[in-house]
Amino acid sequence: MPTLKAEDPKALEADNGSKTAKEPNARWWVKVLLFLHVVAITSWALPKAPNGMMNGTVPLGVNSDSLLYLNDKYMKSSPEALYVLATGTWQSWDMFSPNPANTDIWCDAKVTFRNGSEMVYQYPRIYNLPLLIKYPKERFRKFFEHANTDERLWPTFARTVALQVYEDRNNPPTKVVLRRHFYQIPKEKPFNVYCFELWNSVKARKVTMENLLPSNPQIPPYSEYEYFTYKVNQAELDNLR
Amino acid sequence: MKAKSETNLFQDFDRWWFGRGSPVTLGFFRILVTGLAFISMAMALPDFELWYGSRGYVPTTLIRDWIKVAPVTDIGPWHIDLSSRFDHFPRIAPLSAVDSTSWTLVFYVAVMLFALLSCVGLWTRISTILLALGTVAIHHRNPFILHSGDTLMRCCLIYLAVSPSGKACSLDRVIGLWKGKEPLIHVPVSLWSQRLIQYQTALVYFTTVWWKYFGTFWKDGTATWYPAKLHEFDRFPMPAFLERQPFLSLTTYGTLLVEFSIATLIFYRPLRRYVVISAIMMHGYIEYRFNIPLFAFTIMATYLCFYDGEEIVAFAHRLGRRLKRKILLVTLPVGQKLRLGPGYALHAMDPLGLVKYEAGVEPDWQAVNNWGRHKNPATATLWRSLGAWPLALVPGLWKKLLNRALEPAKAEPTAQPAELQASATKQ
Repeated sequence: MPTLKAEDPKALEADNGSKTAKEPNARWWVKVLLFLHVVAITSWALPKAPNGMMNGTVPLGVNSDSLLYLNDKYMKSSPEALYVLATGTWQSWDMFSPNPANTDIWCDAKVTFRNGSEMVYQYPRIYNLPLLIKYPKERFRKFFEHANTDERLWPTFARTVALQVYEDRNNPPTKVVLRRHFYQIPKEKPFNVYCFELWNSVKARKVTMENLLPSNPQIPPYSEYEYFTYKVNQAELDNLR
Repeated sequence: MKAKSETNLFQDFDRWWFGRGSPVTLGFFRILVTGLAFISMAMALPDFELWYGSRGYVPTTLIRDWIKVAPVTDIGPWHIDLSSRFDHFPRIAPLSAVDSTSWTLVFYVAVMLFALLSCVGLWTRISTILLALGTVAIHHRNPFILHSGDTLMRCCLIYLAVSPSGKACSLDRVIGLWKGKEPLIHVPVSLWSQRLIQYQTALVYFTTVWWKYFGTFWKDGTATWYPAKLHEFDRFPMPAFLERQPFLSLTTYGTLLVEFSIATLIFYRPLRRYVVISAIMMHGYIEYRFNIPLFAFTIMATYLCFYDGEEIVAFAHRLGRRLKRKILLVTLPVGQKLRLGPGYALHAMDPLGLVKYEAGVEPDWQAVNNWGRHKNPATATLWRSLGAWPLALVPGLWKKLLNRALEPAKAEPTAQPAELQASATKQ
């Protein structure tokens, strides 16, 4: 029985080279723009030069650090910056690098109301959220990563917290204290030390489970630090409410 | 001789960057990335006011300061200061001037709509351009909530906007086929945008390895210990021994090796498969262990661009052959045959080749599966025709289209395959 399907679908998808062989594969200006784009994004994505190089304490030489220094000094301050910042092609791929973060951190806020009462505002902490909610709420963690260190964000961060807890017009929040809770992750045993200790135990014929699979260092408890106090501007808060 | 070899090298390089080929990879990549863009925006929607509203964490007054980059630049030894003429360099940041949360929300929802249109490939050229511009604007409205996955997605959307990604795997193409305006064979396109995505992916991995070169934890084999103890990233648990030496070194150095391989060895075809498999395993582990939304999916989607369209099509055919037990025999109503254009469109919407249309003797459509069981023709064909899935959003549309694809058979009951191929070659 005849079918509509082509007998050899592969043939139907084959490159129709004869039709396009005479056409240019791309116009010259496309090639030029593409070349400039590739140069710009590559230069922008390259790592920063080491501090020693930027301070001038390490002399220039024929090495990769000098290349990064020249890139920082001449390329990133050139019109390349205009291009990548304007078009949204800016990028940096420093995920977990140069070292992964070694501080586990989360935050909350202590809010004081007009009548003197206090409450703790729980900024969404990803660790405590249910599994399915964690995924879409991850931006809260990312935002706090900036709001922890970028002082420009502190007043609006605290103001939004005040807005969120502002329920009673007669008892508005008057003060918001942003607090970070953190611990420094202790260092693990480096690979060379592990190998050295294992080798010594093998030589001494006293190989234990601890030598083969050493236990992790003890994790310290969280510390707390109040890093910003915001005196609520009542008129502004009422206006926003 | 030397000059000739240099010329050949240049020509090879030119052919690699700008040569022509099937647009299927770009089309498939478009579906994945724009789909992810839609999901990403939908996930942020419940907290829209906090992220983009005037009452949120990042009001427009703050962002107006952030986007200001002093109009000062150096070109070689020349220092150019345009501060007297311009306040700051221009940026695609229209939302920084919009204080109204409602209007920002309208803009945001419109960009989500463009993501949806781009995903199904409807008005693809304009919708991908508007999606890219909209995404840049949204990212410039609040850059403080962006992670690497967002940055990569933004770059990919920009590349899709300048690519002919609507030439394959799109409703635009199906409509073109239906109307007889498109040939069944994909017209080869210049693949520079696909090469650019390949280059972008390699750049991500190359620079991240370079960044890590400056870190001490990556050198001493303990780097993967630290993310495991950042509880804000916790997702699913791992056996404790995997977070102890010597496994820490294995995962630390393994990460560096895989990342460097994706930046370099992936371009060498004999090793490509192994590099991609190891990269998928690495990102699969990260996706399982850590809560980093959509990054793994976005970066894994870019691996697709390391495969030619012809390879993707061949893979689909191989997959279709493996699924031959799912093949459905559909018989047309008696005295009817499929029109040529709609026939092409139905063929294009069934990339796995799971539906066979034949002339029938019954007064209505009939569908029989591999075991001889009768199925609902509309539902069964829709389920197997992957390209028709977007049409399922409009109830009854697929059935209507099937009926409109028919015409009375005169001399021949249905179009012959040879006729189809001859017609396709002519076009």
